[in-house]
Amino acid sequence: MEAEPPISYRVLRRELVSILRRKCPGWLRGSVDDLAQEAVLRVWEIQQRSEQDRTFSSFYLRKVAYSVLVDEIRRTVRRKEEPLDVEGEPPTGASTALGPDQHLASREMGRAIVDCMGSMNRNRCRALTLRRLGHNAQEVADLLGWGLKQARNRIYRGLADLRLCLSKKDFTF
Amino acid sequence: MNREPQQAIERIRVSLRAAAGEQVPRADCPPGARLWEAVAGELSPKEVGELTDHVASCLLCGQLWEVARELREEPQSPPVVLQGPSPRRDTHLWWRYGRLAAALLIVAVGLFAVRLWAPSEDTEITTLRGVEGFSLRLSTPKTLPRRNFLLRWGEIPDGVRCEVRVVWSTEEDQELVDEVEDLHAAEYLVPEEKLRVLSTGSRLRYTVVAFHRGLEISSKSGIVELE
Repeated sequence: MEAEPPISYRVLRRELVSILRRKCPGWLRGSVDDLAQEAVLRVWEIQQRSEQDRTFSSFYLRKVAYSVLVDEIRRTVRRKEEPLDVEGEPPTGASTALGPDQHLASREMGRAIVDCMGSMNRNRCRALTLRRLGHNAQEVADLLGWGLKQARNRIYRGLADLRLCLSKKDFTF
Repeated sequence: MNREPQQAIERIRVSLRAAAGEQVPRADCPPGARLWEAVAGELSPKEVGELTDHVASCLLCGQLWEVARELREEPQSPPVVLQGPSPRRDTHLWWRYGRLAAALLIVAVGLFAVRLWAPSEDTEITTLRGVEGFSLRLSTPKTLPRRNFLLRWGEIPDGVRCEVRVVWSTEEDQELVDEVEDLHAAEYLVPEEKLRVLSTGSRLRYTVVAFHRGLEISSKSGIVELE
């Protein structure tokens, strides 16, 4: 008869599966169990180096799960060239309703945005990048070691630069 | 007074998400743990700035950054406690010393066997069934410079392809540094950009998997320190 894993390992695995289910892109959902196993192994390896009982915060477990997920997403994208949407759930709001034409137009604009940001003042580009990644102005300031006012200014100026650059490329923004 | 148009930011996000579908991971993509640390505020502003420069043009890393930020913002749940490898509480001295003696004996026999059968170099050999005379000989130099981080594993006969996986390993963590597939050579030079974020003295573990007609073998790990 196969021995039951200790309760703490079952709790660990359940926690990791739960994190991965929430954040796994749809096209990777079938691999959640394997990814959880990989994450359990990583935690187990770390734990084995310790002589004593060890407490793993949920924050730490998320970091491990995230790390495993990033490796797998990159590996899969490289191998299969899967359509890339790494979000756990479909994005909310207007973007979910994009038809093929709109999607194509958005993609064109996306390329233009990357191009414009590449030629933008570096600090403005950094500020705008972090802002569009979901950080608020205060977080942008904290992450980049700026004052709040400075961060806000750079976000606005970055947006203004982007508008100007896109208009030169015949995009209305 | 400046007003930040939320709609504009949302439009940028939607457009970049649409364009992200065309991208694949780049050689200079930072390890996932590095992105996590940046989002968690564990890096210096200079380091965050450098990562942001990468993320500005690498849309895949941008999406992964967003996943890290969302995960970080989730509420905490109770921690998980794992038991350490607890020693059996044996009180009899004869039992303790008996086990010690047995362990020493096993080590001595092991060392003797290693000396008897080990190859002359510091290598790990594995044989791939189905390919006569082929063995996966993993060279394990102790240190390698980052400019020439060349991993080697003997010779590869025709028809055998290899995959290499390089992992950065610390006491606390491990992180995939590089991974390549479809190699038909017996060596691989890890690009310097991949090692850029690692400090001198970092220990990297690498494994090689060889494939031939549906069969595969995996080498044991080689550990190399970054000079």
